[in-house]
Amino acid sequence: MNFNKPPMEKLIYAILLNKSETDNLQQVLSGMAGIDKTALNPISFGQISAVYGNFSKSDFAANQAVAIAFAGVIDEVAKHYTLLPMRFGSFMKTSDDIAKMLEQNHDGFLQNLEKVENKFEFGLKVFGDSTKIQEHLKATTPVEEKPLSENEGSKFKIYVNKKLQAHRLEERLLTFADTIVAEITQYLKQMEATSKIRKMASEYILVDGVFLIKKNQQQQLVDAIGALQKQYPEIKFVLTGPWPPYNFVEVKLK
Amino acid sequence: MYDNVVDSSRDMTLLEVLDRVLNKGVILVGDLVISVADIDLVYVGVKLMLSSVETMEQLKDGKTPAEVKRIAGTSDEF
Repeated sequence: MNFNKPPMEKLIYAILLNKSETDNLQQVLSGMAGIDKTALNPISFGQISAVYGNFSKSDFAANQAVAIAFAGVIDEVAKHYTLLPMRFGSFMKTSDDIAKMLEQNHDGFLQNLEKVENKFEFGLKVFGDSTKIQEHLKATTPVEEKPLSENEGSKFKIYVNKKLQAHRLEERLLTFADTIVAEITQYLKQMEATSKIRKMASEYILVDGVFLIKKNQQQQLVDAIGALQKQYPEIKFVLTGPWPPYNFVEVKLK
Repeated sequence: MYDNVVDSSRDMTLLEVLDRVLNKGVILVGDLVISVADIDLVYVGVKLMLSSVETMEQLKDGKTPAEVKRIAGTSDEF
């Protein structure tokens, strides 16, 4: 009979701001469950704590369902504490290793946690079929076509002219995306939000952005995006959130 | 009539969750010790989401969900 159990390692869910006593954190965590209903445990150093669960790394199923469960645990803890989510699959060998990591990176974590305190992350994707939008732009504001003279009417010139028109339409699409980004940025500026915005992320995604806003500004953001949707019915605005601040973690671990 | 729109929201949320937990957050340098076995599912999600956007466009054009499914040759299953 083999009594050797595989070693239990530590899966870290999040680093959180813990201004109260560790005992209180332990109490809050005891009312929650980790992946597969496992226990959540805290380790603290100064004003920060790590929340982890014990798993055998060799038995750990890193699949989609578990990744979603991992996000669920972070969401639950985020209801009670300001936190920085860990990337899925972050294991350390022992609790001493976690304590050491907290100690070495205390200031960086604290700085990041204070930056996201009382704030939510929201995601915004603006969808549109770029071909259809180009067709729409072409129909509403036709691109000037330079008439070709008889001498210029060679196949080469026709080809160049078509390419030029396509390029101008592409420019108009980018200008259109710029207009949308400018409108969004204007709202965000009013809310003093932090944002990361990517333009033309794909053929279908005109704008891909994430924002960090104050918790009490949630409705203001929803209203602003609703107003933009009314203004531009030909494209689709999809707002997701509130999220823990996944996209606003800037820690270089030592 | 807009069942497919609801489905696309579900796909979108799933994709957003996975994008965040797999690609964002605090990284333990040199200590990220597992790999995600079914990462391909994320890309399946992207394709479904884009398909759903086209579906929404068609619904806006006044086609019924049944017509849209017939044209796209898709089902609601994820």
